[in-house]
Amino acid sequence: MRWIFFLIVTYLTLSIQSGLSSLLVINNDVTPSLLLILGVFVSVYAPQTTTLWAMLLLGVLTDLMYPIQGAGPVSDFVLVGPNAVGFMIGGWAALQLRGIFRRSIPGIVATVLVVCFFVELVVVAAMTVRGLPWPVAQPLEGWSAADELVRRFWCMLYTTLLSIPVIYLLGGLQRLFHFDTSRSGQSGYVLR
Amino acid sequence: MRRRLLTSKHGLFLAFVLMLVACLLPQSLVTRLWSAPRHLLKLALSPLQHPLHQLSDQIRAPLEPVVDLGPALELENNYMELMAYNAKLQQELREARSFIEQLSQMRRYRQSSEKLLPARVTLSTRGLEINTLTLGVGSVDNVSVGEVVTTGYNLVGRIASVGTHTSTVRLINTPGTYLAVGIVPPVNDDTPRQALAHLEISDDGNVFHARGDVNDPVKIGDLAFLADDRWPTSAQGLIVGKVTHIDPDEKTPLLRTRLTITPLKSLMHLGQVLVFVPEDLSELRLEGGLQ
Repeated sequence: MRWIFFLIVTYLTLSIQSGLSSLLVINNDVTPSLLLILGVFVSVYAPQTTTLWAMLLLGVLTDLMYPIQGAGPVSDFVLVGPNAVGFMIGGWAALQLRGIFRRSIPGIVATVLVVCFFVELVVVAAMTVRGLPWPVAQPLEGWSAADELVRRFWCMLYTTLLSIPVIYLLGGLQRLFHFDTSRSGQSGYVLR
Repeated sequence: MRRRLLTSKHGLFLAFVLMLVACLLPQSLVTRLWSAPRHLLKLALSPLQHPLHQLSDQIRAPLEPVVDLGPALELENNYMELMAYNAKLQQELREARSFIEQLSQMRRYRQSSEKLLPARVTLSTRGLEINTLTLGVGSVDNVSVGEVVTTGYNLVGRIASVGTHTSTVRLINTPGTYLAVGIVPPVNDDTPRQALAHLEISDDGNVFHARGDVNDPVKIGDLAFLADDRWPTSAQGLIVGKVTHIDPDEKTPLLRTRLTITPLKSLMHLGQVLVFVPEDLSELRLEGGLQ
């Protein structure tokens, strides 16, 4: 994979995701993750190791973008880790799904749904573990795992829905990514 | 043939373990560790984010509150009342100008004060549990954590974290926010009245709610201004919102009321804000010397 092009697309995707957040938001707290869609797109085509490095980068960027309420009266902080781990596990899941789903738009969209499920579950688990009495016992202010699971369920559906046009657009740029498509019958997706 | 000690797969495994450990780091360490990369990322994104944010606001503008003017026959009476108010406001404006002149004279003798730093909003974020604005000013502009952010006379929030060229504001509509306010009429009417209330942000983050007494002299249209000891002096008196609904309390409808206070401006759709930053003492001394 051509990493320079991947970084440029990541920059544009992150800018669009954050810059248009007030346009894309539904019901004040349901937002899509364009970075995750990009990650899944890469996961479908790129080699195994490249996929996991790309997912790690996208996860760290997602963590850096969204602050968490701190313990002080006004402080906030970013917790790098939950999304990074979630994206890596999601990337691993996407690699397993390569043999199940075809490289078609419906196949990639289905992969987005499954990967998103893994990511959201891991993030909620990681945040919840912080609040356990052992080993760190640093619960997040106002954190409710149940509320987050409900909110993230809608985010998952929204991301999956939005992945249809995004995957279509990314498919147009596939040649510029220079994926290694040496496997027979696996070059490019087909519109079905 | 020599085997490489650290392959890409080893690196991935190491990164995965590090990220797992990073999830469990205490807040103080995490803040020190990730503050610089976070603000660097925001700085790098701001050139593209800002126009997209503005475009986003243009396409999906905040909903303006619907004003119910009542039956048409009352409009004439309202018009006459408003004309009277207008005359009264003109008089108050003259008095206010005189007061401003006095305050300006007082300020010249103060050793230190705060100045208002205009800041461009590059991003508004609804995060996991906290609503924030990202500003295009940082520590190089003397911005520090805890400083008050306003838009005009409207309270916006406080600086939550500061990078070199960017900073984030924790908005007052963040879930779990509680504010003590005084509620007064927007103009001085014949019978001066004031009530105190404790505001709690609603679940959707758009309005505040407070419980009041049925005998409280509060009317729809009254303004709520900050009167909270936990906030800096410079924030006291800034407007939090306007009373838009007064409903009977669900549990004790005969004794208590439920007030709804709506911010005058949508906090998630601001283009520019003002930050109260400490005035540079050296500049003040220089000014004093010149005078």
